[in-house]
Amino acid sequence: MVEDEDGAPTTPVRVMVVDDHPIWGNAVARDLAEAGYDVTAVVGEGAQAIRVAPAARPDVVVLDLQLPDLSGVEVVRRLIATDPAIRVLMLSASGEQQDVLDALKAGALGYLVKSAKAAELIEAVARTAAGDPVFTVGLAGLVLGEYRRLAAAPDAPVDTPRLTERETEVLRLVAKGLSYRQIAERLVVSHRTVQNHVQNILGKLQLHNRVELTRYAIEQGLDSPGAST
Amino acid sequence: MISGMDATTARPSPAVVAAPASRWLPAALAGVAGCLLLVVATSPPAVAGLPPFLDTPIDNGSGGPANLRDWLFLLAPVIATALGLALLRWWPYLLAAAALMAVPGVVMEWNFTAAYPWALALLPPAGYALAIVALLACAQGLTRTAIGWGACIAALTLGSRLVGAAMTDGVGWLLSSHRPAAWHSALIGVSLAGLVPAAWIHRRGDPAAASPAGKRSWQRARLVVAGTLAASLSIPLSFLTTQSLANLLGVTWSALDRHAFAQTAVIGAITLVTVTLLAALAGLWPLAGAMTVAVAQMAVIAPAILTITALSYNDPLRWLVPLAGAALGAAVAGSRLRVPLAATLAILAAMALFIAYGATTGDPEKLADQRIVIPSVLILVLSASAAGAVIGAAAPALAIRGALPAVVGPLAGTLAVGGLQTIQVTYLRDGEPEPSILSPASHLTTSGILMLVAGASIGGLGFAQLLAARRAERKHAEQIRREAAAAERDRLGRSIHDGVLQVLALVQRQGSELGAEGSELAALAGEQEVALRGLLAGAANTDPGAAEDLRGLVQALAAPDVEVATPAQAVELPSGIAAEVVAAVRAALDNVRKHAGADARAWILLEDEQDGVRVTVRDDGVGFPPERPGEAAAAGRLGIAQSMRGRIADCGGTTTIESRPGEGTEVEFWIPRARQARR
Repeated sequence: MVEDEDGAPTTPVRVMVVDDHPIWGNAVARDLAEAGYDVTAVVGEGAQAIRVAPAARPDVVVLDLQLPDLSGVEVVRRLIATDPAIRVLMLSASGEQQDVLDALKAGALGYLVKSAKAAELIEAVARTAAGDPVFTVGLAGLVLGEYRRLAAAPDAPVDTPRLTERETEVLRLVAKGLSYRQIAERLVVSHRTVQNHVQNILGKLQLHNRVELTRYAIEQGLDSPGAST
Repeated sequence: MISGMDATTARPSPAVVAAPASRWLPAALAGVAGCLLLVVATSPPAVAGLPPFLDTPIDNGSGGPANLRDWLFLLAPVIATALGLALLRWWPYLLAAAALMAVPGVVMEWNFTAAYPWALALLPPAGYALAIVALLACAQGLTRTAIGWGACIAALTLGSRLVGAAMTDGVGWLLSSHRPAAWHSALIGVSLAGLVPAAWIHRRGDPAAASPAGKRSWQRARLVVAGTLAASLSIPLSFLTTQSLANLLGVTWSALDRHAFAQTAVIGAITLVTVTLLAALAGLWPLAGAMTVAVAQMAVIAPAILTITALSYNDPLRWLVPLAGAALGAAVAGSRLRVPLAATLAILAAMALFIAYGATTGDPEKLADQRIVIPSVLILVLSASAAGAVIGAAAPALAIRGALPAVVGPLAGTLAVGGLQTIQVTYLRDGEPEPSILSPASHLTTSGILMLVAGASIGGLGFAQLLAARRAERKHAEQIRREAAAAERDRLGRSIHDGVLQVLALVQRQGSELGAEGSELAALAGEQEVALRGLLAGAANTDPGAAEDLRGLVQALAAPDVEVATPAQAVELPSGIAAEVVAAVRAALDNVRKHAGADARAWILLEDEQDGVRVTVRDDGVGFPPERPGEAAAAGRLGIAQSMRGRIADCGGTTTIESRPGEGTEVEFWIPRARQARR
């Protein structure tokens, strides 16, 4: 599911690990450190992560979606509010669900199931650091379903994001388990083009989510920054 | 027995629903106040013949309204009905308006000789029409909070009019011989006072009275239109003169004129057919309700005429008896057993009527002519209470659909008048019509039969309502069960996530780095993790025929070498079809395991496209050349493919299989939604 890409980064990438299970969090931190990453913080709570983020200045946050205090969506939104350059890679043990989709729409860049092997995780962090979305098969299915849901809404506004035919094709192939390379071969395009398509697919959805939130805030008279809970 | 009857203390029993009294008491009080208004409206001081409620408005072909004044008199009640039906939620104010509209009539009663502008005379009939609709709106709102009181008030709309009618006759007012004005003024004052709490509580309107059934405005509009048209039916019919009717029937004017009953009956039949069509336009329940209520109202007229005539003029029994009947009917309507009791009362009343007919050797007028009191009292109490109880028992079924005011008001009212007019053809005796007030009463068996019909109808209506309620309950219970199952699944999912899944994931991850044994352990943990996740996702289990979420079923097929992608929203299919689809997907996976190669992996993609569902099963195995299906058939694949195709075709869907050597195989199932609906 995850591309074979270039290996360890040249300049150390700063990573923060957020996970409420210490064994897990420390294991991930150790693997990442061994792979040459600069793990600046390992925290167990969402609020703590938001507090620590300005000091730890991570490039990538590896975030367990199920935290004891805050929802994953909330943590993603606030982390990105503190620093828009932060790239979030979500981890979850309970499979792809609505909360994964919500967190993705809130600005997370990628997603991995917790049972992924250490090598897969390291590679996913590398891709997240490079700004490439990390889609699992399951996440691609969720995103595909989300676009369909938005388009099928009876009173869909004009600015509803829609996939082009080519983007739909790419996303379906991702959801059917093809690697970017296989997709590129099948569609007779370059590997980079496939990556661009996936980036666009994610970007449109996140932009739409921000527009929706703003619209909702204005409607509810909450259009002062930070007024939402 | 009689004393027990007329001293009836049968007060309406308290509501079945345990709502706080402050919620229903003002409305119940206003309902009773509205009933007093109806008593006033149906007991004008000096009427020739029968009071308005008992008199069937026969229009003997005046040729239609001649001038503006005639038009206004015809239109005033129609406009009042339409306004009332459109503004149901403001019923306390409508009732107050109706009370004020009765005032000019009472002023005239105080001073007969003074000259009043004719326009003031428009108000009382319009107020009467408005009062009925508003009172039924009150009952409709009450059924929400206190169903017993709602049914009670609905029953009293008939009872109070019977009481009012019993207070009058052709000679004068009974209570205080020649000064009814004092009584009327007092009743109007009391009812206005009784309206105050409800008017205050519902100062922003009573949404429960408007349309408790739902928000679909076109359904309400249908009721308003049907009710208004029914109320205005007398306008077109008034153009039907004896001459034009004779032309229509192809008989001479004189022949028709000699049989005035026949003429009325034809007009009645036209009314019946038209109103039935209008009620059908309003819906099936309004049609059944209007017919039941109309039959009950028709059945009560003859016994009422007979008994009121039999009881002497200044005997208070004359209005106490209908009062007792109204109270008994209201009490039955207020009880939990309103449907069976109403049917029983109707049967008892029918028996009493048949016995009276037989005992007078087919000449029931004797009861009236000879002023025979006890049987008359019995007949009226039973008939009035039965008719009231039937209306009260029909009320809840109509009220929950928002149809009570339109159906029991204009629709059933006009239907009953049409029916009474149609029955008049039975009064014809060869060559010798006997137009008399007692003509209906001489055919008491007709009333008896109508009573039986009313009893049967209310039984049917009650049964239908019971079935409808059961069905709604079942649906509701199913909904709750599903939500509970989903909540339980989520709860389990959360706790399992926090513990078991985390540990399994850890074992899987770290184990693979601990050599061969660790790898084995990791693989086992991985299998268990996937199985557990599938179990959590697929725990939903529904009745056959109910819609089932395909996601859970497909996610349950996940395995270490099978990945599943689904949307976040439920992908619902009828469970029978969902099972077929899952079986087909499973067959496709079997195919992969048997033929794609040992280390082939598979992916399942579930997509919900509005007009159908698409399921794709892809593998990265050896594949087969598409131009050589014979080889594939020989390899045993075709058989499995056929069974998959068959299952999907049975659901109205299609199957596409694509493959190339070395590139795996892709099986795509497409199940359209429209076709399933027809199956």
